[in-house]
Amino acid sequence: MDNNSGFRELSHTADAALKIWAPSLQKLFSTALIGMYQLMGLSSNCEEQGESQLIELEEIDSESLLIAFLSECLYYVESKGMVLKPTSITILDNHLTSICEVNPLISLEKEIKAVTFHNLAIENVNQKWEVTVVFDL
Amino acid sequence: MIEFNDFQKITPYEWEIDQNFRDDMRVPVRIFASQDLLQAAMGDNSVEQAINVTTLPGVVGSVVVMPDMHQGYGFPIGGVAATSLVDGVISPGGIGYDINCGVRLLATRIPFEVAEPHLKNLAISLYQHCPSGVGVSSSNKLSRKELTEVCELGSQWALKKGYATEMSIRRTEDSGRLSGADPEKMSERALERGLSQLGTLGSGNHFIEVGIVDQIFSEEIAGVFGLEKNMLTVMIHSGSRGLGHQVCTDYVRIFQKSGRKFGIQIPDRELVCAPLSSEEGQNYLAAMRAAANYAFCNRQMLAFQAQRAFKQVFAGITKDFSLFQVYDVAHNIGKIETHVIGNQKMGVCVHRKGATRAFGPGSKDLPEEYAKSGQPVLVPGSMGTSSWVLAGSNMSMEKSFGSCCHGAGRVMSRSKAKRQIRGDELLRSLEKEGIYIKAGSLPGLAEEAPQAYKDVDEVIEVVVEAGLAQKVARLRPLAVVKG
Repeated sequence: MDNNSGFRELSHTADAALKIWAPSLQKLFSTALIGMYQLMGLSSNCEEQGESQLIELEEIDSESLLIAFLSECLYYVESKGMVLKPTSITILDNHLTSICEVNPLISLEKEIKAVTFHNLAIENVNQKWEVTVVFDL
Repeated sequence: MIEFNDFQKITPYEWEIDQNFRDDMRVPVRIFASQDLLQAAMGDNSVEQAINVTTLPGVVGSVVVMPDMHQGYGFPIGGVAATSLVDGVISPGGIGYDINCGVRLLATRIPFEVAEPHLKNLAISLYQHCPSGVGVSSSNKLSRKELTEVCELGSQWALKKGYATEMSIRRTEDSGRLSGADPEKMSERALERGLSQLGTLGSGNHFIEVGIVDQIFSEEIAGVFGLEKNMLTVMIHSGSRGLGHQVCTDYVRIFQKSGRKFGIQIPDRELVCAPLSSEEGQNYLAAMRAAANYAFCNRQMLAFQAQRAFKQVFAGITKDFSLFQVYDVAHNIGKIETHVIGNQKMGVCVHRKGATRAFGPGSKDLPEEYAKSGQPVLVPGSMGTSSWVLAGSNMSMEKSFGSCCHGAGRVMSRSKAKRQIRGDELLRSLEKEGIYIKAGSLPGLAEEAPQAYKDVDEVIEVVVEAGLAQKVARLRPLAVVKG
């Protein structure tokens, strides 16, 4: 993350919500992923460079693409015990291509059941991209 | 912005938001709450979420909200919505990611005095026998064929394998098996996630709680349910684990695409839905039922493992250490039921998102022994407070699509709870009160502190005064296993 991108947790009665901002759509996606991992209290083994994994997703709009991307990374953690860290993200016409480094999961503090579409809207004002994502805990 | 004046007071425990409150509402919202609980609920977005639900195509009657309501995603927690089978929709978000999250209550003939010196050991033994915590898996991995059978047969798979009794099956909602389940409508990922998680508790708000029957309110019905004052009970709260989460994730994604095809306008994308009559709607229904069956079987396996823990602790101490089932209820589910709406019987899909079925006496869906009493309604408290056993009433059929509350209901966010409460201090203070805790994570324990929840007794007063259920027994917690 740099000075122009980041996230903060918003109050939510039962689940968790993150407000995320970044100077580009690609950066918004990678920042959202960092936020999700932080919410999960995740740590991974990065001592050795992991294998590369290509992620390709096609959805109907940017919001769906963001949820699909985060859900894909969540699936790898929950089901395979692996952590995806994108080294590149390309988004074009609702199609995402990402090359990710894959590292083994070491520990996890919190389970996220799902990434939701609740009131989801990506906004772009003066090249500042923002979105709020609600996670089901 | 919703103001208190926007509610019409029907009774001191029922409030309505008129259908004309917002242009896109198709039916009113009916909230069961005391004035205090209603005003507290206005502190988050739960009322607005209930109003959003009224916009679903084919929604009938009213959108009903229980007093344990709080903000969710799409539907409010505590929300009940029925949609017509003819022109209505099914919404995966209205059932939730933890499909058939629910509660099972087991009773014993072990008196408190006999159990008291062994409660700490019991908590440890339950923790060892019932895998819990983040990312936990079972030591017995299912084969693909076994998993398919579990999703088709639910708890009845466990009966076939010797992990259940006829009584436990009979005393489970829908006998632990929803018909019309089709594992082939689940994705490969959902199936993969189900292979290694059967018989696991999970984390978050899932728990196993050993309690004692503290007070009886109806001797007659408590006797029918097998509850005796001063005897130990076990409550199990869990769901369909990663398999269910994946089914919901998959279909919310599929419906985002198909929603455009059906031209359905919704105020929140998490309410995405498909006509019940469509191929997409039917596919989700079949996959959701398969996940629900997995959850029924999961709680059955946890009950079997809990019985082993009881044997380990109480064999040689007391003759009868058997656990027998009172009931098992779902509180995140979609069910095809018949209800009377405007004097007409109608087939509907009842979405219960954080609401428990509460069928009354005479319902054909109950086991014979509960035909006169109504079904047991199981309402867990919040670790340090009481849990409740109620009996469903026929009034619930008229007022709330045969539904009741499902718990105390959160009132404080998890992050605030963690900031205000230390897990180790909470553990010590609960132990001082005689409640032994075995938790996988202290921060996780702090998130689930009793202070983060409403007063469950206040919630119970509302549903009883509104006539949705009647009090049968109150349970006091003695030992809790948390993931």
